[in-house]
Amino acid sequence: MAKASTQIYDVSPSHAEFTHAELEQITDWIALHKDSVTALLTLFDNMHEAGLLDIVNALIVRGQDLLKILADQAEKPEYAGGIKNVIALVQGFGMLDAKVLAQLMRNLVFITRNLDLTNGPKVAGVWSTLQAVRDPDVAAGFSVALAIIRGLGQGIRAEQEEGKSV
Amino acid sequence: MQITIDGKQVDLLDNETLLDKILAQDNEFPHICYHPALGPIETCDTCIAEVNGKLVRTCNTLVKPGDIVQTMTKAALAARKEGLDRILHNHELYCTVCDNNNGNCVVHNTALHMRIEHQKYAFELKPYEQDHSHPFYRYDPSQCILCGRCVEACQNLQVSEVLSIDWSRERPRVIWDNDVSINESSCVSCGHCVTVCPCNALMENSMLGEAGFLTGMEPKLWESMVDLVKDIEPGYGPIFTVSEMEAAMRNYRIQRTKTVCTYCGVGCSFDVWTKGRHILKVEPQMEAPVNQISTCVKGKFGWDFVTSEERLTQPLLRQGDAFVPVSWEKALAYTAQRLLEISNEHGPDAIGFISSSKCTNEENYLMQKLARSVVGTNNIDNCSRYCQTPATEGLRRTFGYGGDTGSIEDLEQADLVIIVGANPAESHPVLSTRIRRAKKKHGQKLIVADLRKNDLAKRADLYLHPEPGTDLVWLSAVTKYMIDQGWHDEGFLQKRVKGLASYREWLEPYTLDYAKEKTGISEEQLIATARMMHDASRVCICWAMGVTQHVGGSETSTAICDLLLITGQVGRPGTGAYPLRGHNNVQGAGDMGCAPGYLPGYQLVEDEVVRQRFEQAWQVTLSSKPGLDNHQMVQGIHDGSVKAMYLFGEEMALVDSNSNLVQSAFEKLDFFIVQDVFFTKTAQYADVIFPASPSLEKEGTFTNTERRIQRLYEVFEPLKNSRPDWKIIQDVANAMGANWYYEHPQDIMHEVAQLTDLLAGVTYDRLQGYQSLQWPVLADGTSTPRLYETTFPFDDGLARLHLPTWHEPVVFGDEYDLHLNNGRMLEHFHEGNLTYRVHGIAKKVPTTYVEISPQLAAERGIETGAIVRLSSPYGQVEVPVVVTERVIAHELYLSMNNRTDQQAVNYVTSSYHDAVTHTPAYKETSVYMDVLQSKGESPMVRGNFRLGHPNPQRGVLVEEKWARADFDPIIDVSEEGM
Repeated sequence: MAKASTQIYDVSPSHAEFTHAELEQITDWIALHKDSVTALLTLFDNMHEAGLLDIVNALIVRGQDLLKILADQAEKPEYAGGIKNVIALVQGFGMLDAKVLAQLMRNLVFITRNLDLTNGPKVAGVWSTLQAVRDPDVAAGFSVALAIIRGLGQGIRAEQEEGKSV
Repeated sequence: MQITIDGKQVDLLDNETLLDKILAQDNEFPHICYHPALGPIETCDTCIAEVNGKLVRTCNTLVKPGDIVQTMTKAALAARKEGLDRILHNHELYCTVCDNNNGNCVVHNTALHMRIEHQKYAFELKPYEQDHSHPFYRYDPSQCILCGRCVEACQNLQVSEVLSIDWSRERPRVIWDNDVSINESSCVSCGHCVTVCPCNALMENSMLGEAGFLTGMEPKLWESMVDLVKDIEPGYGPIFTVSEMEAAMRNYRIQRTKTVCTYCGVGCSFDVWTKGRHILKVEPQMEAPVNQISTCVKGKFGWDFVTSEERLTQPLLRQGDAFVPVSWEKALAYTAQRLLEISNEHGPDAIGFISSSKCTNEENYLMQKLARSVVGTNNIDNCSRYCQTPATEGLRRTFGYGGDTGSIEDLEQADLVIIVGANPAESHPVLSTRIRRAKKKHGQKLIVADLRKNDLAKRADLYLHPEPGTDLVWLSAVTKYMIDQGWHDEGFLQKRVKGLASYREWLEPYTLDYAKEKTGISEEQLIATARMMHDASRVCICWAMGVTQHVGGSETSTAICDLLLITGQVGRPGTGAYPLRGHNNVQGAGDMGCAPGYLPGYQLVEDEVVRQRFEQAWQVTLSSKPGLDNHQMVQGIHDGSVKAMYLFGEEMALVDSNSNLVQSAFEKLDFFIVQDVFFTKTAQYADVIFPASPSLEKEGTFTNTERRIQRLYEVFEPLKNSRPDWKIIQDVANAMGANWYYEHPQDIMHEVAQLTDLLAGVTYDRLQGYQSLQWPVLADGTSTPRLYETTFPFDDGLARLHLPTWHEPVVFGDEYDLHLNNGRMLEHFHEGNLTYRVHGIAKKVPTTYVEISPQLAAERGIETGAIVRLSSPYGQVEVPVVVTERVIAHELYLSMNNRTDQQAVNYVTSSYHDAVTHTPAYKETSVYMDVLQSKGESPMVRGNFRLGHPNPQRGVLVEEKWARADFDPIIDVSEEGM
């Protein structure tokens, strides 16, 4: 014989009971994963020693402030331009033929190693310039320079053509 | 048909588009507006290729044998690039700080795959504000690419006909109705538009600020971050790289879990996206066998109740007039002790078990096993007793199996669909979309017979309004007329049916004149019905509670099946009988033997051979005496023979008819166990309350209205101390001394398959992911989407024309002058225990209301907002009024969702019931009405879709886009329509 009832006694565990139960669960879990927890604590300790934990904490707590600074700075044309340049540079490198770039870098290294102006060909006028071109090394470098100029010209002409069609 | 694509010869099937075929070879081939569920829309121009040297849209190009298709020519590449460039003029790519950057953003992926580096046409904001008016989703016009997917989905898949694109504006945009805010439109919140949106223009509110690692920041900072991303945009490549990485990181914390919806018997399945215990969204998938990308408001947005603070999370024991939380051990021990005491003292038949058609097959199986094998009684039933048992009876009498004869696909294929006493648009929403679509797109004919001019009735080619409770008469008159005209299927009847002669004799009184007199349906309408059936080569009949919840519910169901047999409309594609199951697992609860006379698989408890099979498996002796059904259990409590009851997952105190009688029965129980997710009205009478887990917190299977078995997976772990029902039932059984060791629901299904021929081949492996099986399932896993193609499951293989018995509807007395119809409302599920706990739904439909006709309102001098008291011999309710032409004359409609106890319709329904199955005659209720307040605030609040004004369109009307002065065709226009 039960009349309808909506009354429920609140017998929620006390704060201490609740905490005790939660801690028990955590302790069980730690015991189960002892090795990884120990490794994790060591990592945390090292990060703390190095001050990295403070940095991470600051990043998390002040994350939105940092993003705001970044966004505010980016609104300034000079900074936006800088970021654009960085990305343009990254994109430009992405488009280069890796083999050619590698060769170019090797040559640059070679140049810097041999950059002794006293040992280079002496140029005093048009005649001595033409004479210097007969040097096989100078001739090879000159060919590369001409190839670069040619490529540059091709690029400029292509852009001009595209401009006409738009 | 053979064609060549990029030099390779391929076969194109009849139902394949050229785009489908190209995608089969290269799944990264661009396409944005095309969606397999929607078909070609032709707005985006990103799927262009060359066919025989001409640029065409591959989504909607008809090819001829021998055509040469080239996708990688310079012209084709440039055309697709131009198409995407135009889209990006309408869409800002800030993917990393976008909540839609989850790996499935179509615009993002297309731009990425096409290696778009620069914006040819600068992005321009549109001059419109975002629309945040709706509780479940928002529209951002400036991100909208005007692809029209949402419009096509709304106009031609869901067919609510709310969304359109206004192409006449300088900057076109999607509009709702005739350009009102989303919330004030006729939007039914089905979510189709959001699901198909290929970008972030339409998004679930629950995703905003939650999905991404960088999207939850303050709005102003978020805007600055978007600007930053834009500012540093010398090329999209690096940005895509970062956003791809961020999207991959999101996968770490966003879980996508498949589940099956619990809000009706259609059986929609979908992925639930969660972050911790936060539901980000429901995302339906094309591989979902029933619904593909379709959902209704409840399936798409109705799951917040799972995280409600009001969930039961601890067992409760009654102490005097209050409940005390106790441990599981204590609750289980006490329960076992009391059940054993009562069984020992009064016998096992003094205990009743009510199983749940909302819970899984496995849980239902265990509940009947507990009743039969542990307690020793067949007193087991479920709530399909309140709705669908008469339909099952009608089907079994005539066809043999108690299930829908075909699939929802058959409903789509039919030439004519007849709906009797059902309102699928509100009760089976996704199923109704298939009928609306077939009608709008393919000219399917529709007849609706209902008291109420519901959504499908308004769209019907023929609407019949019979007098309440007289469906059997007009159905039989139509049947007789068809036979008299020689429109019956003689061949089918001769070969596959028996009993024609006696049936014809039985039909004799059902003349058109008699039918007109009894039903009020004109002779012309009856003949028109018969003629439409005669003209259609494929006919399906759907019915629901408007048929079954009558004193003659089983008989009318039988008359429907008889009509289908007479016309040979069963066992073929596009034909058949479809009782629309109301709960997600009505079919399964019955299949699992949660009925007093049937063991699992509809095997009779009285059959000794059957019993031996189960006795051997369960190692017990089973009772051969059929038990009590729900109705009889209530009677049994009142007469003192039933002393205890164990009920799970049902709000019987409000859902059974004649609630006062039911509640007074509960008060008399010596011991009452209620197991539920919330502290329900029924639970108020309990001695022990077990906190159960809802479907999102468990695994198992459901069987939908098509006999389709589908798996659901655990989305969340059970909340706190709640448990899945199958575990609780097992715990109770074991506390009573059983030794059950089911570790997972699949162990239970394995046992079911061993004991039931109907489900012999059902295994969890065969139901993996979105796979499904329709019973009967043979041992080799063969599924049966359509029944009776060659034989009926009787000894002689023939169907039976069963002679129904006509029952006059119940009459309450002259003073009860108004007929009270009742049922569901789209937004709420049943009594509302779950859906009122979904904030957005409760906001849109905060209360129930009684619908009355303008005629009655004028007679009583009341208007919308009035408060009335409805009284029957069994009780009273007090409800607000809405005056509407959906009902006529002295017929009322009150939906069964109730915010307060005083509004529950079953306080006025009676205990009259179907003569065969004892299903209550809910629909045979009369009341008188007292006006408590003649006017007031409308209970139909702003945001209720019924206040909106739909804007039907043929579709996206892309021709209007093409006719704009600023539209420059990309394809070769001379080849359009090639």
